[in-house]
Amino acid sequence: MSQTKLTKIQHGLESTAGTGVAATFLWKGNGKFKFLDSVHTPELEYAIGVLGGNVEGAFIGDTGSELTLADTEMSAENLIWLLNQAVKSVPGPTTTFAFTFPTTAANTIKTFTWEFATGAQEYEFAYGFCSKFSVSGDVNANNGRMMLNAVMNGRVASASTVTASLGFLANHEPLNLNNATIKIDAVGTAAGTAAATSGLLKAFSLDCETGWTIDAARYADGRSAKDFSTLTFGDYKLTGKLRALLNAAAVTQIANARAGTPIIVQVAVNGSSSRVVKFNLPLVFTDTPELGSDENGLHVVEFPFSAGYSRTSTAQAPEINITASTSTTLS
Amino acid sequence: MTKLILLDETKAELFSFARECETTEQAQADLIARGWTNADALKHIDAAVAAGAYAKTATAARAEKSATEK
Repeated sequence: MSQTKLTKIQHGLESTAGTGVAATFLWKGNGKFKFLDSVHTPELEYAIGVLGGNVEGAFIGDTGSELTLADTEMSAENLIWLLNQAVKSVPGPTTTFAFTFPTTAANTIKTFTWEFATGAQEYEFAYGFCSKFSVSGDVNANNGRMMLNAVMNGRVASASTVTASLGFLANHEPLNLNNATIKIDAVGTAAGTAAATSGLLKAFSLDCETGWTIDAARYADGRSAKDFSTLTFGDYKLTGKLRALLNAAAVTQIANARAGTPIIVQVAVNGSSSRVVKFNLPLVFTDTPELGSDENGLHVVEFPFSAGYSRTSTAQAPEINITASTSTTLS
Repeated sequence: MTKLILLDETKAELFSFARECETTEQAQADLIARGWTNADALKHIDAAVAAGAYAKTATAARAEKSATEK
């Protein structure tokens, strides 16, 4: 008997970065794991008097872990856990979590120990953090379900026994783009100030390279496991796409795209009991849309964008602002 | 709506205003004549103003003043 999926993926909040802890919650989604152990084979690669080279003599250069979390339903709750290890440490207890991207100095983030199981063996790695994540939603695909995927990295993985009998994050409610609004302002105006533009947004996606990477975290710090030492921030990158019906409001955005005029966009995805995930994005369209594409007989246009800091007073950085249904504490 | 003055013809063209629209009032009338709703027209003009196609009155007044003083 064999199983093709990881049977369990679960995480626990580390109180000291890199010191492994028992997991506390099951991740609601599938994933794939890759051992980032680099094997070098000098006796195969160099001239040593044997045709074909020797298979012996291999050694390990450096090590690490990469857990790819496959597309799963985005909720306010799983985003709170994910963004704490991707964008900014906001552990609560609070109901509103402001994950603001850094402007002049790196944010601090939380690290997690991730455990996962296959049918045959269980593993764990400590110092887990998120190096990339994407969210997406399309009212004409997947029934508008907002989806989330991510790449988690960490120190070397070791065989282990996963923590038993864990549950999912409390209050997890999948969110839907059909219950979202888009508000568009000029730079200098706080995100979400304008009235919602109706009849415009069809799809929204956001891809983030968090700026936290294994390579940036490597130092000659005497680690015999040859994994990384201390997390170090490079720079984040936020890109995405808006798909819209070609109407009067889209014509304005086509003009903005052609003129390179930056705007402030808020996509607020609502749920029940005060849940809302607001993507507040100072952005500039990086390409002009192509006219003539249709979707279900409607003329639609796509706006690829890059988000970043807006220096126009009142200045603002991108932020993912999440209101949960109840006061929540990261654990 | 406050009357604003055409500042950048190239940008105004990107926002699909005719070159003869010297003020935002004319731009508003132009859009409405082309079938836009008034609300859409006002939003479009706001975006054009933010992009620098039309000058805010005070800015335009200052520009005029400095031009006269030269």
